[in-house]
Amino acid sequence: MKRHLFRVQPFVTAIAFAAAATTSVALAQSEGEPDSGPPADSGERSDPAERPAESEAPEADSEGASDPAEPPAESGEPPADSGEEGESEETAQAEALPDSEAQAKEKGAAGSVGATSSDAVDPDEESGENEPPPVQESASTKQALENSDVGDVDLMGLLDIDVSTATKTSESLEEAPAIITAITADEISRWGYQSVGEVLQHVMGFYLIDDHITPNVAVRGITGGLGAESSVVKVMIDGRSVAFRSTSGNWLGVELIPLSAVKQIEVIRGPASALYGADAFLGVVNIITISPVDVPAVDARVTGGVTGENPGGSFDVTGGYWGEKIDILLTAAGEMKDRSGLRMPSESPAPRVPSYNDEYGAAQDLRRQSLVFGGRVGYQDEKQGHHLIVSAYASGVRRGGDYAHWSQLTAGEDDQGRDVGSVVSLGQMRVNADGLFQATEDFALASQVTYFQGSLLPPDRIEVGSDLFYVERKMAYRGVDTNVEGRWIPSDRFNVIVGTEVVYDNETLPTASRISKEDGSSLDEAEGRETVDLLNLGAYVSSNVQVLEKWLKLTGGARYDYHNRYGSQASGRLGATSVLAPGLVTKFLYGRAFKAPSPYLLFAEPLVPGDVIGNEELKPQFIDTWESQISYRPNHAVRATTGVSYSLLRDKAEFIPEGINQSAQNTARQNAFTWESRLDLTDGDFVGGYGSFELVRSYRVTEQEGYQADVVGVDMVAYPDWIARGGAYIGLPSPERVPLELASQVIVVGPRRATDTSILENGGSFELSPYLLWNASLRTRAMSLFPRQETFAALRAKNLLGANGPDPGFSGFEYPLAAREILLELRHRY
Amino acid sequence: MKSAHSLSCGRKVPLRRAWFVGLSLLCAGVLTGCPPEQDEIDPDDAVTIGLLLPFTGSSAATGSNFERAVLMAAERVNDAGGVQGKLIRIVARDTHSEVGRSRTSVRELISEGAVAVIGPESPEIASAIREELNEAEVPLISPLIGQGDEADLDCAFPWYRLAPSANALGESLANQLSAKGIDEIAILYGSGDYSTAFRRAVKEKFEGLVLGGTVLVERALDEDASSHAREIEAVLDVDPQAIVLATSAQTGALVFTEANFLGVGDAEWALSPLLKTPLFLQNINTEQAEGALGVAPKIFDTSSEYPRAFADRWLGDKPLEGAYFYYDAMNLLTVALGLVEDIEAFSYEELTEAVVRASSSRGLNIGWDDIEDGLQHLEEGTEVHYSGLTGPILLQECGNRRSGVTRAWSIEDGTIEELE
Repeated sequence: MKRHLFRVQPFVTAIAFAAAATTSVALAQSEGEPDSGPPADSGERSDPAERPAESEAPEADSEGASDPAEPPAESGEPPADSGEEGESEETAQAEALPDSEAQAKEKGAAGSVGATSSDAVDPDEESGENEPPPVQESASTKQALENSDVGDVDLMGLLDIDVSTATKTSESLEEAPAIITAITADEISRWGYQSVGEVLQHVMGFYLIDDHITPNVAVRGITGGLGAESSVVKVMIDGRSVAFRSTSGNWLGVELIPLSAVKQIEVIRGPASALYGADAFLGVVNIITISPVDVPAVDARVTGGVTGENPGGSFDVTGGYWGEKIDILLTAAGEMKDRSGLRMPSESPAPRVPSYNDEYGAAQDLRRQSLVFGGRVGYQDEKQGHHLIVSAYASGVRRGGDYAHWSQLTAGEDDQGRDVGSVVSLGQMRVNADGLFQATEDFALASQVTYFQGSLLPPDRIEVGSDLFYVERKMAYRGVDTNVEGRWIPSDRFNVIVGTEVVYDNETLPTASRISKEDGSSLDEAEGRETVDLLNLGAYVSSNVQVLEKWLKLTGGARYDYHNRYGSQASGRLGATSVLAPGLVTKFLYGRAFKAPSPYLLFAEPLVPGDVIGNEELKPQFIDTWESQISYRPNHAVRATTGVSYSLLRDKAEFIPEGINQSAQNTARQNAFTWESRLDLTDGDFVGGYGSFELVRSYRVTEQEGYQADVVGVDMVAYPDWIARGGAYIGLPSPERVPLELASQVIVVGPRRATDTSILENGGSFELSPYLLWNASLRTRAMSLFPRQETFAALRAKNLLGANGPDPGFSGFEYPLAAREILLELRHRY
Repeated sequence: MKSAHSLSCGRKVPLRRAWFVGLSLLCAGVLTGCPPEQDEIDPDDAVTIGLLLPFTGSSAATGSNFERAVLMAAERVNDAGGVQGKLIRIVARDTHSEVGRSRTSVRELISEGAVAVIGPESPEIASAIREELNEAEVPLISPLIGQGDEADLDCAFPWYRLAPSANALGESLANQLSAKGIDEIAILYGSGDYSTAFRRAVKEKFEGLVLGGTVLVERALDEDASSHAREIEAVLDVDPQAIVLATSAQTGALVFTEANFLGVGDAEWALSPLLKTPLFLQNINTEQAEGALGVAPKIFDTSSEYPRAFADRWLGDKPLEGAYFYYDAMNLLTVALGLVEDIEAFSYEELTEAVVRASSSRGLNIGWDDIEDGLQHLEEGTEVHYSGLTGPILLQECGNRRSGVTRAWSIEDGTIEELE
């Protein structure tokens, strides 16, 4: 099979099989077990014997996704020598070799775990002059490594990371035509992220407002506003949207995905509708699940501790089987925590607190319960390159609603002694089938079919302030998302992807029943709830062409969508990437994207006076973004990037008072300018860190006039003027069998104007004070407490200083930050 | 009719047309000299009118819509060159639906140099701020607050109110109920002056010798409360033939919903003028409101001209009924300012006298759409008066409207229908 510079990646699974073969061979050779894994008959595979050449070609290694300390386990094979000596054969060999050979050997070991498409890349093709120089280890580095008790250090420093979200082909992070960040499984483990929301909190260009129900992500100065539920970005698992379609909201908590099943999270800042259609608006978050070859027998993590003063915990487990043709993965995660006790921020101008609770009191129900299950069965025709994968996913959340927007601090006992309070509870499930038919060496046909459905779950109840009743909401959806894609790769310098997508969504429109607090009877049970069919047809083309060797690579794409409710939309992208010198890469990008109005914004019925009312005339919002980035990576220890972006958002949907209520209307235009810079420094796995800074200026012009427009003004709301982030880790002197690492992260969030609603309620503009969020972890790296098994332990502290924030709220009150959390984490895998 | 000048000096347009229209406006502006927009008016070259409305809080439902009516009226005056060469500058402030914060807002309006204040929506707030306005000698014009129960009204400091009195409207509703053969009613009313006066008028008329009905029970409601279950239960306990509901739209929606939750049986709903609004209907189950009866001030101009002009100006928004009164209030004040001797220097007494004159029937009648002509006549020294969308105004010395006709309405098929 031909080898291509642009490795088409139908998200993990397709290439994972090829990589699996490579990995198995590598393992077999390193362990002296020639029969383990499929035969190495695929041209996609690279022989570990060639690995020394790959050390000069770091792009062939994408092992940011896996912990170098865990290669044998991650490969699903037992370590060659992870017994009582506590030192693998790989490591031992590496230490015995000269530096270059040690690197090469380490490289080979790294390549044997968590293999990705890059494992299959021809080293000859990757050893161009654009490649970053080989590792230049300083004497001090070597000394540090030699002196370190950590026997499994990563000698490669800042490893190359391949990403696939930018073009649907595999490319190095530096050269992918997008402003993209990749968070590897290793980083997730290092920093102790418990959810994708926590990950995004630490990604440059993102600002996460945690409303304690479904966090609301804002990107580069632009926020989705009330109830947006992070719908300004498209969140996908292996390329498929996992939004709760009725609200277009994205869940970012534990319920989204078990992190033990995550190989890498790729985050694009900037429009991507040209590839991913509606809602890839301000960015894309694509969660890549682990390759079949990485599926462990069991990888289980339990966490327990306190949130504020409340006990809580979580679990996260993934396991499965990987065979010659079949692989199976099962995964699950759950969380039970309680943030109760958070006080209503004093900055809140107009919270709506029922009379039975003290005004500005503390929340009594911020319980958080999440559960998610997933499964995947894959079949691979090794010789032909075909594959078929069936996967399923089910998820549910329950959140105490003391900071819900309808009314706040509702939980407790009312005047009649009844237990009351708002609860938000949602569920959704998906069943997917993915197929890849490799028609010729150059051409493949890929198809995806997804059935999805979701609804509110029975615990959902909303307090509206009445002594007599609470509201039981009802809304649901179900539908099918199908995608057929042709991928033509006639040469290494050129590829084309052409695809069509059809999304059918049957929405049961939102209704509300009033339920008696006395006897649970329903006053106005909706009969024959109205449904509406939403249909979107999309067609797209995307191409990459290498024009002048490494000097100029062009990327272009266009997509046309037709929706039966809001008509035609066109989106597109253009990009130019240039490697000016070894390690020095520039990108110039333009993109246009659109955000479709959610069924909720189109059809909502107000639960209480003042609530959102649907606007069936609402149209999509459009954004055009011009961005540029320059990255410099003189060696494997240093990576620096800086970039600017300008975005113009048109037909921005704003909530406008419509009588007592408010409805979304396309009434604003917003422009945003950002400057984002980040520096990464590392000395292998022993010590490292990063720092980033972003500056945002944004202005919004609305079609509104009069008092409200005057008071709110045109300056950016609900987004900090600047955010600084930093993180560092260091291996601690410790016993060999208990290698310790200390890691810490900080976020300093700059001043940010309150939202329109709060400004109006306050009668004038006001800013929320900067705050500092500090997290710290003391963890062990892999401990071999049992033969052929690995154990990890960590003590984690989040929001160590107990910062209160607050973050801007959209309903007349501000959101307090989650309280300090102290967690003990245990993880075991074999 | 709106002049070509005012059209060329069009206001903000939908952004999608901004590029196209922007160039046109720029050219037109250069050629004709467009008047500045509200936020561009130099206070020294303008007469400042204060606008006090609820943009937030429990009464926030109508603030923006009414503000638009006033801004639209002021724009037409400015497009026509202003009053005696002075532009009209509107400075708006929020009552926050609270008495205390309204006082702060009204002080800001006074410090901004407002020569008169239009608003507010609440009789309680109006009563609370009148003292400060009187001290500053700034007249108060309340477009939609009819005469309530103010026994202590000092006619030296008139309070101009363009809506018919609560008394007239309450009596009208009592007549309507009696005409339907209803003998026994209950009343739920907001605790404010207006609703209290309305309730009293209903009760006195309904139980009077002519109608001979009975008010079985009446309960006051705290408009800030989140639930009114106890008051509603007290009313339902007596099984009335009709329930009179006299509250703001927001409270009304909540009471209506809770009452139907408990079960109103065969009782009919009778609604106060404040509930004649789509805002009330949006927040209730309209099937449960079928046939509900109400009364409201009569709007004289029922043509589609004003709603169309309003919609054209405000991106399709429709004027609420109260917006008609606010539009009239602004025009009445414009004519009054045109009647004063010297707009650079006039006294409180001179302005208040001019307001009454402008509302009289003396001289040439100026309608809602003739304000440009009216300003021309005023410049020529012609005596004019204003009779606008809500008909002849005819203010008394103390400020109450002499005229003002009521009209019945009902809810049919989920919408408000006028009754003959």
